[in-house]
Amino acid sequence: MAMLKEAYQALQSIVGPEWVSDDPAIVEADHVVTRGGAALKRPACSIQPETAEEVQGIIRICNRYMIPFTATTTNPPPGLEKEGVVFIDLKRMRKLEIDEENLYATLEPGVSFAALQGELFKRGLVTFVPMCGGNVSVLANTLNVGEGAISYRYGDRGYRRVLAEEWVTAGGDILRIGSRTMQNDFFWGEGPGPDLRGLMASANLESPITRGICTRIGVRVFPFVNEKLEPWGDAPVTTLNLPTNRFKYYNFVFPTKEAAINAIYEIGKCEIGLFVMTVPPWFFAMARARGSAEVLTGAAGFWDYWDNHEAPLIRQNPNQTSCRILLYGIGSEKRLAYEEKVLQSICDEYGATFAKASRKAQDETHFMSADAIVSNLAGGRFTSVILFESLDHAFKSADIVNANTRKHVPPVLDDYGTTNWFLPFEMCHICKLECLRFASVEDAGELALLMEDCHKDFVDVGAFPVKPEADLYGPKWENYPEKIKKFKRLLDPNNLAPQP
Amino acid sequence: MLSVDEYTRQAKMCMRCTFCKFIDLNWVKSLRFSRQCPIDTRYAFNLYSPHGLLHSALAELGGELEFTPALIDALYKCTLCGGCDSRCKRNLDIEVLQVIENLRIRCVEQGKGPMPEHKVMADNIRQTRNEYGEPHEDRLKWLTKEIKPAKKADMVYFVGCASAYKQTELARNTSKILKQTGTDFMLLEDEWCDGNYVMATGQVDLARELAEHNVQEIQKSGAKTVITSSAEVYKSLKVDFPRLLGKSTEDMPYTTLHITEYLDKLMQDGKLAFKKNVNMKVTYHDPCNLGRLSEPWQEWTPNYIRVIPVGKVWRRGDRGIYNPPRNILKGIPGIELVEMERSRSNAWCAGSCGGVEMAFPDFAMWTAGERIEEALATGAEAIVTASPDEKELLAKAVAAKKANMAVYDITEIILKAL
Repeated sequence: MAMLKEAYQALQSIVGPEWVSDDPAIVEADHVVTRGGAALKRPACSIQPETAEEVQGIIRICNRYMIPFTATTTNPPPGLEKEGVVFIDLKRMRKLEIDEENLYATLEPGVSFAALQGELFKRGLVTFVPMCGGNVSVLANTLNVGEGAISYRYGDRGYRRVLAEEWVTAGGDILRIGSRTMQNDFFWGEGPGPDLRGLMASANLESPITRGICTRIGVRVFPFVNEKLEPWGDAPVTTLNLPTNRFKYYNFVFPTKEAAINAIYEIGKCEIGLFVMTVPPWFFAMARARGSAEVLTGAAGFWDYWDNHEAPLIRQNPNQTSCRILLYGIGSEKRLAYEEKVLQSICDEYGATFAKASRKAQDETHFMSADAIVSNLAGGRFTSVILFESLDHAFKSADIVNANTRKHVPPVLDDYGTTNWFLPFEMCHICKLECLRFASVEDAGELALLMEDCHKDFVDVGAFPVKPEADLYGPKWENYPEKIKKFKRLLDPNNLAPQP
Repeated sequence: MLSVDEYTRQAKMCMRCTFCKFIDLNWVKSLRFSRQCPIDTRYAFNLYSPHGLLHSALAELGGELEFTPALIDALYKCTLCGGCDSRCKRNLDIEVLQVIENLRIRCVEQGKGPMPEHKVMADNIRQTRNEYGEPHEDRLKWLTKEIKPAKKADMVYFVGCASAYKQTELARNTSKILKQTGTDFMLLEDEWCDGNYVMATGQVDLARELAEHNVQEIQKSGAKTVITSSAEVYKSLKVDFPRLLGKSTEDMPYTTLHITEYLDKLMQDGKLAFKKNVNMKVTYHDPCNLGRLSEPWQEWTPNYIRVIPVGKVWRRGDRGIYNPPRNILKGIPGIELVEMERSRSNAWCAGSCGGVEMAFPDFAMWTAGERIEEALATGAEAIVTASPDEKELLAKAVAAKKANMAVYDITEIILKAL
């Protein structure tokens, strides 16, 4: 749907004609359907601001002409179900400052996790790279979910790491939160007055874009080892060599799921490791596909390993549970030796056997890359049912997903109920459960139906999934969608931002 | 070149994860040099990205999108450097580059492409057998009295248009190096343009004609090895010619060698050692055509079991010619080699690939300028490459930036050290 020429010219005056376009090919590329779901409409135009002031100018024009808008950096955004949307692409906003003394970074939406991590490593600091990959926007991901493997040691969900914020509300006002209110820094997030961070970022319930566009945030960063993590290999087969005096991987196998949970709880209590997780058997096949050796074998390697190694093992021992831990000599090499002894003692107590213990510490996915996308190799498409729960409750939720999987998608991968991944955070206070399910590209719609059925069952057991259906969960969860709508009316009086 | 089914299958696999836009993430060391795709970095609209072009390919095939001015602009500004392709193959194994190349072919078939400058180049080649429209009879004008190619040898030197007409010292350097290493070589009786940019711009019929002629000439010469010092020619001989003729590289009647591969082998065999000091701190720029685009071509008829492509040999960019030029530079006394953040399969394109410099010189210059900034950040005095076109463009970028940096083709450095 074409927009008013006058409005279009006004947008051009904000960013310059080079950075706005209504060419059909430009807007076609902005509306991408990746996994089925509702048909999306081409935006009316695509625009690329470079500063918060430009974002504000665009939103004010949208309000003047009553044009709906949405915004994004790397992921397809919500809001494209409507006709005539202004698509605000924030990729050009790439400013980054790191205060290494005071352990925080100030950044704009276009800064990726890998770029931040690369800059932090040079300074002996670290951040969490989420499971979807170091290519995603730090700002967008951190405001929304923002977890990574090392959330186990350094804290939980991303939005809890956010300090001061700067927003352009959907009504076109600049909203500053925390120390950004008083001075030009992003050091702390509280006040003055009520802490408004929760108002803007509602964690995993829905996207914050429904109330405005965040243009800059401060995020906490963490001390790390001074030794360098050296990249190795030619893309696409690469890894990071971890300093062996500070890091050591262990894989270990428990005879039952229960033993695994109890041991992981114990590991958390003893505060050892940089991260700990269960390892679904298909991870090993994925690693084979990804080529942890020197040859990347792709889908053929995956299926060869799955059919001939993993599937027979699972059929033989369906309750066996593999785990992985990265021991971390934070502060000293002695600490690594201590952690190794503690782990050995816990594993002895719970009957674990070590599958692999190597001084060679290489990481492919937890510090920079996070290759979750490789999961598509198994069938063409996958979906993740993601929940955040206590560790013991997570196992119950996983059973729900298993039951629904059998009802639904003709499995491309017969996973025997083992493709659920448990990743504890905050020393096991909370657990991320990610249930991955695979289908062919043609069956991608079926995955959405599976997701719907799981959500219906989750309500009954009190599970806490990411992005729950508001209509389904709202009545049981204190009518939270109504509260969100009230906030939205306050900040988006013309209702132009995407709906919650 | 891809069947419609395969073209669709590959494009549909894209789920817009955006890995294609960044260098291999394990190698990211800074915000400044973290990005891989020149069009994405410069223009930022999703259309100007590998995933945007893949989505456009599907939309165009499905009749939902025509070749609009923006689509043609994005399609022909893409340098076809293959960075996206290598990145995608870390995770999804999509033939990103082949889909984009095919989209260019469709653009030409529908009369919407290539760009006017590419048509001029093609006309020049049809009339004079070189891309510049220079007289064909001048193709060997670079030869001097001292350079005497053999009448008959096992090795033939494929000079290429750039070295034959524009950077003639490169052709002379190569000949001198071969002579000084005691290597007999001959020249083709009637060398035509290798057609790298013809192929890249989607003009496959002409590209095939050039491939057929040049392969016939090579066969006629009786040589079993073709050597070149041009990255573009190397890729044409090793990858494009077999591809255009429906063969695999291993089935071609000749073996292709880049001068750096040949000299590296001589060094490894103890037959070559550099004697003279070249005191210089240098960084090496991997030409895309010699790096990730240079892997052997394997002809494959699509055949899948489940999602497994049966019998396919992948080209993922990790088997490019990365070590030989580095081994040579390290073997020269006095040379200190320092790496840029984006090197080897992560190398940032210098901007001359894919016919971009012809049609969009400003954008090509910007891309080369980015590379020079990265080279300067290493503290090197000089940037060395192995492509005449890239050397020329990098030198222009250095001049435009008034940067204190020398630009060399690797043959110049080798000759200094011999």
